[in-house]
Amino acid sequence: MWWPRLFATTGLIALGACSSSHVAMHAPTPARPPSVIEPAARPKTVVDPPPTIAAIGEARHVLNRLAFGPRPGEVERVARMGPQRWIDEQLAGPAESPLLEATLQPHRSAFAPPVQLIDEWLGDGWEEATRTSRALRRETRPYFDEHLARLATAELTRDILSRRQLEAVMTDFWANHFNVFAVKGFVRLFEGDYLERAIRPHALGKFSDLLLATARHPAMLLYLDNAESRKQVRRGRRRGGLNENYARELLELHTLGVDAGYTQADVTNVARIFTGWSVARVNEGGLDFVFRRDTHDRRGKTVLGESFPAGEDEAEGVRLLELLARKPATARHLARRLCLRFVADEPPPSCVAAASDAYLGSDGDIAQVMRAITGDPSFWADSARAAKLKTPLELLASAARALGAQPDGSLALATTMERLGEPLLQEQVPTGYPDSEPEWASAGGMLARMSFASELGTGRLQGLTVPWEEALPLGADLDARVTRFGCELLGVSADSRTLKLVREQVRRLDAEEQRRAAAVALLIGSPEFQRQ
Amino acid sequence: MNALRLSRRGLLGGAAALGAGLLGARLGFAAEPNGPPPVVVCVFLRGAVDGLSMVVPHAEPAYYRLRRGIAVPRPGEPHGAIDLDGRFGLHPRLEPLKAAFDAKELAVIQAVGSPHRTRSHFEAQDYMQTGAVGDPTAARGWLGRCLSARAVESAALRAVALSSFSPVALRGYRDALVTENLRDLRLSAGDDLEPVLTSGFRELYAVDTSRLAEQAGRRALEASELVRRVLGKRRRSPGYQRDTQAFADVAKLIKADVGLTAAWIDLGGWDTHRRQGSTDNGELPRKLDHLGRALAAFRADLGPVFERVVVLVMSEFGRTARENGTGGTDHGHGNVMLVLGGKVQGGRVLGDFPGLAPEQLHEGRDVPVTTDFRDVLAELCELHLQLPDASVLFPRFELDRRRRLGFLPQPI
Repeated sequence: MWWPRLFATTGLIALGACSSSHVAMHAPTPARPPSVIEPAARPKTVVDPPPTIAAIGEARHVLNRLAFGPRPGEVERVARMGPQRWIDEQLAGPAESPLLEATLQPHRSAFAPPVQLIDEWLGDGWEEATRTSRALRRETRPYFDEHLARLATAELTRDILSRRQLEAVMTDFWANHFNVFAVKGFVRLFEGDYLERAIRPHALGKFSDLLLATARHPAMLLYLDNAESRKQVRRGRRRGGLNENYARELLELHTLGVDAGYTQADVTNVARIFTGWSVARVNEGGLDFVFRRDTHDRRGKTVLGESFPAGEDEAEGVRLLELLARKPATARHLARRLCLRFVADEPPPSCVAAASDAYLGSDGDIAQVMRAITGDPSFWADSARAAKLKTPLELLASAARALGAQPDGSLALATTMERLGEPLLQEQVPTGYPDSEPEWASAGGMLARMSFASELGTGRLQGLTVPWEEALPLGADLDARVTRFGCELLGVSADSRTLKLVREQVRRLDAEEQRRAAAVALLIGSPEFQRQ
Repeated sequence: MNALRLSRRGLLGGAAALGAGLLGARLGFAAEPNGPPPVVVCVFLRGAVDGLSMVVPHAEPAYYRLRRGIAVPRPGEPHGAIDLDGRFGLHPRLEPLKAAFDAKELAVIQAVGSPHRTRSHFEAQDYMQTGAVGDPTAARGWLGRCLSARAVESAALRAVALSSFSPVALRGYRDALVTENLRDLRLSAGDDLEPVLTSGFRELYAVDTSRLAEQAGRRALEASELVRRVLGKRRRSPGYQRDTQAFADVAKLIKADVGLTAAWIDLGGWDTHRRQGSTDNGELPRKLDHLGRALAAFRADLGPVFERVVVLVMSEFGRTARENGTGGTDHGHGNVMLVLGGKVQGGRVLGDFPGLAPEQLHEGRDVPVTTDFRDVLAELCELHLQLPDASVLFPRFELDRRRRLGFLPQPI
């Protein structure tokens, strides 16, 4: 990491960003794929010319959209290597940072499979002591809250520190697409495993693998009640039967989309196909996926015109998922969701078409879809830049990254997400958290963002350690440094309205520390920093 | 078309904004009457509440055949329904509402809902809030449009939505203040820096923009002082639970006469696919208990002011008549609505409930819709919020005032 140091001494970059971003922000540049700058051989002793205005704008854009925002000096680094090369590296999956591994260490248990988790909480032999679900719930309940807070903290830590930023962003996207409500029943025991083993490994892989992994995962089976769904029984006193919750959301949210023309009969038959997909109980040596043949509806079914003959058992569910993953409606639905997330609240038709084509042409390879989205001019359009409202998670992570902050090992970050209105992994409805501005631009939410920024700036926010003397050192020329910091943070020019207002307010304070605190609070809480 | 579909939640872009302008011109303006405004409080039970448990058709033998595990017992039996009219009864945990029914301040509407066949939560919720049934591109809500037509000054607290996300019903209405909790509407700035940060954020957000987040931020900063003054110190009012505190706060706003005309309260967690319970254990009885107590406390809290308030309790669709295989119910069609208010012509169960025999059910499984929800909303907007002609709220809907249910008095 010689770039930031080099430019800190020359001061070139900070000035460059300040003056050049003025042009980048206001002069309309034609939409086009990123400029590729041949990386210079390094290390070298001569100072390269500063990156072009266009390259800086592009770098800032990819880091805002495909990562959780730039860390100090990162815009310049990516501008020099070329945004496309950064995207290639991210799609290939760079090696993880040792700092992340070390910081995650105390939270490792959050991702453990449930049996290991309970071993840790209750000690060996708990299977004997807690043979019923009720007993298990009673015994594990005291550990629930801390476990969820730890899991949320671990995810946030990853979002802030990971070098595999695109993977982290995609994990957030898919976890929301395949949302489960961690607080429901035993789902919380499985949530860490769900993220670590069902979502993350496939976040940039094949959609069909991701779909199957979620469908078979106890977190999903419990959340959408499929674990208890069984073939209709008419005889005798034994009750039981279908629950169509998972079947409907599978078609509506996970794959085809609400407008794809499936019928109630399709929903019912999908539910019949998944009868028997369940979760093994403790006394079955379980807490894992199990196919219960005795509760599976073995008669023939038809879904979307495709026939599923009698007696295929578990295989017919797998075949159905593959069928759904290959449907053009699924390609379109996913393309729309992804373009909405990565391009604009109103997904541009060209982006949707490109993403959908790439999906169908690659047998649902998510990395190829991301290539298509970032290869579409709409991704780079001026109108798309700094336009999308950050989610609360994106705000927190990008603020921490911009300041070079380090999670402090406490679980306070989880609470911060609650105060910002989107506690991680705790959205109750299967649609997940909304992803467009009209849905979540609320007065309460915006004030929560300003409060967060104030707490962060004034050092009252727990959960993060900020290297203040590196981020924004005190000293005689604090005003000038606030300006440079603001330029780099917001991508605006030194004479922008926002920076003028911030300087005016800050000048009302005497103590340097207070001036720095107020400046950071106002900048992080400013309208511009809420955008990506 | 596909791109448009996703943009259903899009803000009022070009075409929608134009449409809104035209609408405003067509609506005509009702003069604000002297004195405090009428208030409408919409309580939206997100996730589709099981109406057949809320207001039980206890005279229907089919009800007990379809719901062997979760039916609410007949009146007179242990934990039985509280009879209203010999045919229907309140869930026992809604007992606090019986007094309002007896005082003729509570009307029940049966078999009401949207004619659209969707069983998707989000699609049905959107249609019920835009009023544009079947049009996924509609971006603005009926309540916001109804309020826009009232020619009154802008006020920081004209309309509040107590919800984690911005309800479509109020979307696009300039004065809508959305917050999950009114108590959160304060800037946590720390003592030393509070003046600088407060004035700093005020200036930063005083930008003239069509961007919703900036508008919301500005509105929040404007309203927070007033809200804090009205709500005063935090005190759990009797009758309200943690999840129904919104009712207590709305009551305070109404009594404080700050111009509040509409409140939207979102309550989630009604999607009871599994073990919903009958009357005792289960998620549904617990939630109904909180709802019943909160509504009763709200009514008591307002006292004489309840005369100018109408509360509408609604949900996106009903649930299957038959219980499913896991002691719950799946997504259905027709449902129940409650209307409460001082001037409501209540004490009656309204609407045509055809019964639960197989041939009477919608698609053989759900309560049918015999009253279009738009007829209910039109009556509310015209007779309570004094909108001259509610037909403009609902595109492609033939409004016929002869279909009014009569839960509100006709003007003389």
